[in-house]
Amino acid sequence: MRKLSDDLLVESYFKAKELNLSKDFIRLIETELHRRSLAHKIKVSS
Amino acid sequence: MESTQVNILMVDDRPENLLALEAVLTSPQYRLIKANSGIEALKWVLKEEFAVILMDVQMPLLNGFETVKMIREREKSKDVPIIFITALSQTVENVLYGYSVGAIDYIIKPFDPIVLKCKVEGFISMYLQKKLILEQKDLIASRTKELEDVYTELKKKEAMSRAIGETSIDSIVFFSEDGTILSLNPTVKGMFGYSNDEIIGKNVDMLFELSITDIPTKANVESTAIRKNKSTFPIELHIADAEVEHEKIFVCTIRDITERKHYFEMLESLVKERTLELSKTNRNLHKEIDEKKATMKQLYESEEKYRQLVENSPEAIIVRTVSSENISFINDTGVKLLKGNSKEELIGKSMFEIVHPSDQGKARNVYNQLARGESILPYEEKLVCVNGDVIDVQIKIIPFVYEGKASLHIVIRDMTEVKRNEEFIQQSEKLNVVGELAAGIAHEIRNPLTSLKGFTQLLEYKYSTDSDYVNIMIQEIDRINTIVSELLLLAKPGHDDFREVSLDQLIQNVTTLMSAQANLHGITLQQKVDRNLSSVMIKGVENKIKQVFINIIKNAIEASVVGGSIVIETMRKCDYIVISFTDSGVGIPESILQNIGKPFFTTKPTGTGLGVMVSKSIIESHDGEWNIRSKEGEGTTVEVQLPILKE
Repeated sequence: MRKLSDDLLVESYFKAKELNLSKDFIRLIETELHRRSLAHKIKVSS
Repeated sequence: MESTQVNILMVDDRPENLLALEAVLTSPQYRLIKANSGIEALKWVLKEEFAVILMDVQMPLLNGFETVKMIREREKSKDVPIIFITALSQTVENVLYGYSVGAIDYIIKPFDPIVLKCKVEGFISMYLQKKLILEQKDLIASRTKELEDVYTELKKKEAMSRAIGETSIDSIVFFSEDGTILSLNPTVKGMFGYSNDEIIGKNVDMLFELSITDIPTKANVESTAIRKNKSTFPIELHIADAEVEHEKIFVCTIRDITERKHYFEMLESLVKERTLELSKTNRNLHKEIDEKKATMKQLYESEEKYRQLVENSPEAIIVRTVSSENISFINDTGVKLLKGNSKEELIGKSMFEIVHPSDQGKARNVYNQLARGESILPYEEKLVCVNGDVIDVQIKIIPFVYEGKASLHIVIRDMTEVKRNEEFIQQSEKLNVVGELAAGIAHEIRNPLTSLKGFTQLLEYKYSTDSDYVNIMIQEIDRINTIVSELLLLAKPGHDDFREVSLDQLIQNVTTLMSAQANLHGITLQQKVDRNLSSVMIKGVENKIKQVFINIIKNAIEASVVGGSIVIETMRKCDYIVISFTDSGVGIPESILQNIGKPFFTTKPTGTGLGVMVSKSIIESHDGEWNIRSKEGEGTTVEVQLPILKE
C-alpha cells in the first residue's frame, strides 16, 4: 500500500467506492491517504 | 317260728292218756313232745328246754316222783314247772310228797280238759315271762358293761385333756355364751398374772384389748391381750365352741406370740436390710451394665468408624505379611480400584499377580529392601486390574504388625485421575497460549489480507482480466479471512468487554438471523422459551455468545435433513440458565464425538475445524459449560449453561 503512487492510491479509492468493495478496504485506503495528506483530493472530487 | 313255739313234755306210760292230753293241748304255740317212760322223759329233758312238763305218777320202772326228783337235780331243769297227773287216791301224803319232790301242781284224773288247758297256759305264760326277764337281765348286764367301758375311756380322755390343758404353753379359757369365764388352765396365771379366783366369773373381754365376741370361731386371729398390770402383748387367738348339755360354751386358746413377733420383726428387718442391700447391688449392677453397654456402644461406634475410615478411604489399602506374598486384607476402595467383584476374589492372591509385568522387577526390589528393614519412599508403578485394565498408581508401604505377624500396610493411590487431570491442564494451558497467539497473529494478518483482497478485486475490474486465477485468488483469500475471523474470536475478551446481555433478546436475534438459512435448507427453527426466563440477564460479550449460538445452529442445520426441525429451549438449573439446541438429524458417531472440540478437527469439506473449539473456549471464558449428547440416527443436543446475573 505504501509503495503505491499517490495517483494510483486515489484512483484505487474511487474505484473501490465505485465497485462497492469491502468497507475495511476502503477504510485502509482512506487511512493511507490521510497519512500522505491527500485527503483533500477525495473530498474535492466527492 | 320255732322261737315262738314253747316245748311241752307229756310223760305217760299209756298211749291213750298221751293222746287225750295231746287232744286237749293241741295249739300252734305249743310243740307237744310225748314220752312213754320216765327214762325217755329224762332223755328229752337233757336234749331240750321245756316250759311245762306233764307227768304221770304211776309208771313202770321209774315212777313219776323219781323222775321228777332226777329232773330237779339238774341245774338246767330245776325250775321247770311240773304238773303231776294222777289217778291215785288222793291222800294228803301223796300230794305233799309230790310237792316235795318238785311238783308245782296236781291234777287228778279224770281231769277237766279246760282246767288243764288253763293251768298249762298259766304256766306257759309264767315261763315266757321268766324267759323275758332273763333276756332283759342279759341286756342290762351288757349295757352296764358298755357304760362302764365308756366311762373308763372318758376318764382316760379327761385325764389326758387335763394333762394337755395343764401342761399347755397356751392359755385356755372356757367361757359361756355371755362371756363369763367358767374355767381356765394354769398357764393363764403365768401369762396374765391373774389367779383363778380373781378371774373366774368375770367377763372374758377383760383379757383383751378388743372384744372377742366378734371373732369367728375356728380361726386363728392375731390380737392384743392385757395383763393384770395393764401391760399389753401380742397374742394369737383360737376360739372353738362346744355344746355341753344344751349349753353352748366356748374354748379360747391364747398363745403369747411376743417372741414370735419379735423374731418375726427381727427377720423382717433382716429381710429388709438384705433387700436393701440387694437392691443397692442390683442398682450398682444396672449402673455397671449401663456403663458397659455405653462402652460397648462407643467401642462399636469407634470400631465402625475406623472400619468405615479404612473401607471407604480414598486410597486403596492392602495388607500382606512380610513372609508371604499373598494379600491378607483389602478394603472396599481397593476392590473398586482393582475392578474386582468381591474381597474374596482378591484376598489370597499374590501381590505380584496385580503388578504390571514391566514393573515386576521394581516391585521385587522394593520388597527386598523392605525385608532388609530399609524404609522406602512412595513410588509409582503400574498395576493390572482383575479385568486386565492397567492403572497408574502411587504406592506407599508402611511395615506394621497385623494379627501378631510382621506385615506390610500398602497404600495405593490411584494416579489415573491425577494423570488425566494433569494432561487436561497441560492441554488447556497449551490451548490458551495457542489461542492467544493465533488471535494475535490473526489480528496482524487482517489488514494485509484486506488490502490483498481489495487490490485483487481492483485488478480484476481495472484490467478486466477474464482469467479464473483472480476468482481462485479471491476465494482463497476469503477462506483465509474466515479462518482469521474465527481465530480472532479465540482472543480472551478483556474485562471491559463484558456487559449485561438479555439472553432472551439474544436468542431472538440469532433465531431471526438464522431462520433464513434454515428455510433455505427446508428446516424450521422452533423456540420453546420459558416465559419466566425472558427477563434473565447474563454478563458477557454479546457478539461472542451470538457467534457461539450461530455456530451451533449452523452445525445443526447441516446435520438435519429436509423437513427437520431444530428446537431451541431454555430452562433454569439452580443459578444457571440452560440453552439447549436439539436437532433430529443424523447424529454423531461415538468415534467422532470424542474428537469434537479438538483444533482443526472437522468432518466438513470446507470446515476450518475451529468452530466448536472456539465456541467452547468462549463459553468457558463466560464461566459456563458446554455439553454435547448425541445418538446416531436420532439427533444431537447441544447444551450451553451460563450463570444468571439477575432476573
